[in-house]
Amino acid sequence: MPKSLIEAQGLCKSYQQGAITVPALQDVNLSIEHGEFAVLAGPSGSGKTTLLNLIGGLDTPTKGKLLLEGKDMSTLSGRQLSDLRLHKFGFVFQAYNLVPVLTAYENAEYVLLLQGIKAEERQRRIGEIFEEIGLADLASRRPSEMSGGQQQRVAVARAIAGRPALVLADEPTANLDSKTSADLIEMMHRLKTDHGVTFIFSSHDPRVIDRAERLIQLEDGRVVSDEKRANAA
Amino acid sequence: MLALKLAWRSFIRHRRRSAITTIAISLGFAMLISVTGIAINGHDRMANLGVRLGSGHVVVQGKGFQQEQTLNFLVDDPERVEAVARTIPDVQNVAQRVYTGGLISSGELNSATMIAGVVPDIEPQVSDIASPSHRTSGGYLRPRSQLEFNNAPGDIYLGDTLARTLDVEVEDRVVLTASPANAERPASAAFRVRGIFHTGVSELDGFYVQIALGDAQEMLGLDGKVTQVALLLNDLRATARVTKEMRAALDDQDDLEVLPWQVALSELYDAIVLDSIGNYLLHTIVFLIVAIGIFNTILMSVLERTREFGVMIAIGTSRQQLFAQVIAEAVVLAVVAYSVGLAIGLSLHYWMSTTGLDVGALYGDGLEFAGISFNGRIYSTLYPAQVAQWTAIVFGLVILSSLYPAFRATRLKPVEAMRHA
Repeated sequence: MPKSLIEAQGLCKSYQQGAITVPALQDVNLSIEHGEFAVLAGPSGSGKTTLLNLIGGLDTPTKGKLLLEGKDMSTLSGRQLSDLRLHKFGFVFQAYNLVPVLTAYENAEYVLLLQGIKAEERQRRIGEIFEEIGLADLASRRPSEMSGGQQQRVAVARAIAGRPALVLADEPTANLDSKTSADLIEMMHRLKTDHGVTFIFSSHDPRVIDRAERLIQLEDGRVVSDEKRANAA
Repeated sequence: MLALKLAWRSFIRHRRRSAITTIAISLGFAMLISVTGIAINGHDRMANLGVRLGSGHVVVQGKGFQQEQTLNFLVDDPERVEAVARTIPDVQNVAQRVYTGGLISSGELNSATMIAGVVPDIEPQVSDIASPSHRTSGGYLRPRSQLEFNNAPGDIYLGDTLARTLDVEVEDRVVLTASPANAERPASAAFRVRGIFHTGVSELDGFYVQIALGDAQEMLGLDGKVTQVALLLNDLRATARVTKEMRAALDDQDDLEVLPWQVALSELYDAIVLDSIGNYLLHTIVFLIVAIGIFNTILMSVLERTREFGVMIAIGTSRQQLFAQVIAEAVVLAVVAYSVGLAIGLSLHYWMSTTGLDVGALYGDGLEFAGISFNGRIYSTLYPAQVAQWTAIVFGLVILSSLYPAFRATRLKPVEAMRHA
């Protein structure tokens, strides 16, 4: 039986606020399969971002296990986690988080440079992605010279340029208008379909939730429902 | 390459801050080059003037003469020492001398004096005192063979202050009195004033006289012996090597000591060292400016970019790469500031080494320092080794001062860093 891409087993995360321990995630059990287009939904403080951060190796659980293709991520060193984030994961953040001194092209190229991809291959890959997601004319612009939607598209390009197995997107449409949000979700869905990239979003945006093929509802750090939807809009 | 590209972009991203740091470092460095160039030139000139007015670059003396300064410590065979010295490269000239303290008198007037017995034909080639430029009246010493009579009073050459003290002029007679070697009673001899000099050095102008070496040896009963054989070199910087070679060549003579000018003219050398300490203080201040400037700028940059660095770590930048990134930013800042500073400093150095600073205009009769009088202009001298040393220190400091900011960047936790405003 093929191993799940991600499997969370009794995952807990709590934060210390002075003398008080605040639970952010409590006993989360779920598995994400290759090629899924899943959304973590729920109100603010429900634990969506915390779960994404744990899956992405950006944070460590207080209790429980997180398996990546069957391998316990807690056994990995800092260096191995860094390598994992570079080669296996792509990240899209709510606030775009592009490197401000680099152009759109250079931001997307950054991950490929870290991966040690040769110049010709970098150029080819980014050229294709930029063409596909409508960034070809913006390649030489700095983040400060682009709109929020354009910056988020560059962030998506950066996330998929390294050909990750999983893209983690934390509230990617939170700062975008309706039209731009819809376009972005449509673009990511197309990438999922065309390239087989697995996407996990955190969002409480109905437009994103509507497109989810799997909807995982979180409340107070617990998974309250996990629904696969064949007829996503 | 990526690190350098990002470093350069970060440098120009905060133009004002980068410019302020660059200006502070580059001006400090330019000042360092200029002041040190003048200091090196001044020290070289002091040393050269010192050796030309006094001892020579290297001196061979009877062992103990340096401390006691009496005729009990002599060079018994100066001809051999001179012959050995003339075989060593960079030895330009060799002068045999007798030094002793004594009394000079004219009528009822008298003064303590330092008597130097010198070779009249050689001395003008090795000593600035004997040169016409320092002579205010008369001529220079003549060997006895050129005097009108064999038993005529010998020539004496003295400073203008001493001449005024004794109220004598050229052609006047004076009497020198000194204690001969191994004798209980002092000896006296008459001399005729042949010439009067002015060096600007009060000790020389007021207390120093020269007579012919033969006259000194006869008066002091030295029988061909001297107190000093002085070596004048082509290059001040050859002093250590020539001293070493002379010591090796005279290894069989335990009664001799070979001293570089730094020992023979210890007062002058101490003054140069003291002045150098002031210069080192300036070096320290400039290097501190560099270190603090780099530290401050890079730390500010790291703190401001906490979120950016958090994102970089999140998307796969290793901590080593991030560390190298911060160091690269410090190096870029240093290269820019250092290059600007070097350009300004070398331009000033070029002007100072070609046009010079008129000391006479600033200090009137010249500037006397450690018993040495400076006239005319002061120039700048820089040695490539000195600039290379500064370069190494600056870049060493840059690395050191960016270690903490770089380390701090690598300690960032991506989740917390990305929450940073």
